[in-house]
Amino acid sequence: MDQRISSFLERVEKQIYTEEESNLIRDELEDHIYCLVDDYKDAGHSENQAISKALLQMGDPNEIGYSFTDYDGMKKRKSIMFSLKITAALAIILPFVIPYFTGNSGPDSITSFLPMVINFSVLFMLFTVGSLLHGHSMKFLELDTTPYLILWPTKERFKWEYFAVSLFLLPMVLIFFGLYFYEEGLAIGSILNLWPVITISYGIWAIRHSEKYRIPKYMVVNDGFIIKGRLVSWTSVKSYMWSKDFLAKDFENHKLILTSYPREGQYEYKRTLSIHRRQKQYLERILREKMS
Amino acid sequence: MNKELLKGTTEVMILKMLEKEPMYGYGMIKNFDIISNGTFKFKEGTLYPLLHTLEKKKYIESYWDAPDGRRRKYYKITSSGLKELQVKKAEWQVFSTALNGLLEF
Repeated sequence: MDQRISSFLERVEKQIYTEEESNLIRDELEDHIYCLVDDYKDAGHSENQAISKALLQMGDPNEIGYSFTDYDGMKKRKSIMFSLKITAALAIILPFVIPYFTGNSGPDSITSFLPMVINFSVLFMLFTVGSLLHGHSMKFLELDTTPYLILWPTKERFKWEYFAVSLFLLPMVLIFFGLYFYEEGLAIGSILNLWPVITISYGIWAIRHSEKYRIPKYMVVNDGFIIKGRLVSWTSVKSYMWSKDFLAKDFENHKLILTSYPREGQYEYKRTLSIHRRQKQYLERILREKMS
Repeated sequence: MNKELLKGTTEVMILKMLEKEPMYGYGMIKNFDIISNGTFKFKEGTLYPLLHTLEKKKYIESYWDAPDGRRRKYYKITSSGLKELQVKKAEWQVFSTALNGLLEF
């Protein structure tokens, strides 16, 4: 493949959030560029000219790559995170409310512990869903410039991992829930107790759709890094160094350690970012340019 | 063409294009250009994300083929895409009739 085309495609790929997605889009765009090249050649241009014209017509690769960002999903994510917070608040409050309605607050009653257990499980479920959705980057939604680079997650995505954890909890919740119904019958309190089931279903739904609503954790923009929604400007970074990510699956990824200048009365602050092996070189180039 | 005018109509344009036959991205861009006499010029950064969104919504589906020896991704409309197209067409008829009436008032 012509060097210009491959470097164009690489720049597009670097704006797409996962390696898997970027490979899919790369193949499609590669065909698109070669179609353009063929058309220019048919119009009488040399191969060399045709490639240059095709790439010129394609436009800015960063912009193309960034256009694949799912804004609608990200905006929807705001409301999902809000509803998770409300549900978590309910999980904390309801153990005190349910015994009030059911009258099972005596220490000898087995059911007095159930709301606690159920709510613990629901909180755990909410925590897993919240972690999946990355509850940080909000300010980034207001950015109107195209980032230089969206840093890929180095960890493989995880939904089955979290799903397995949730499944482990599900029988526990159901057993206690069943016991509760067995003891209580269809009392007023049992209506209240339907909510863990609803929450669990909602949690599983959110896990299944979490890919759609994710927000990149780390990005590089003109003014600095966006780390979990906060701007870390180039001027606030004192130095950086590279290390290996030995915890990553393939041992080939890297850790970027950023040291910030100390604020008044504080120590200098270090942040560690996991960097995908295929993005290291490009990021290094940006860092050299920006921090020289 | 004013971008704001194009917004909201691009999905229906793609669905309409695919109603006839399965197509690939580059072919669609060329066809839009030819059929509209250069009025609808789609950029790559507009078309492909839209195609991927429509695929996520299950209005279209994709497959890889190699008719000229080069692997190429084709898109075809699904039954729910056809239904969506009918709905959008009806909406558009109402909208354009009302707007024309207003403009000729």
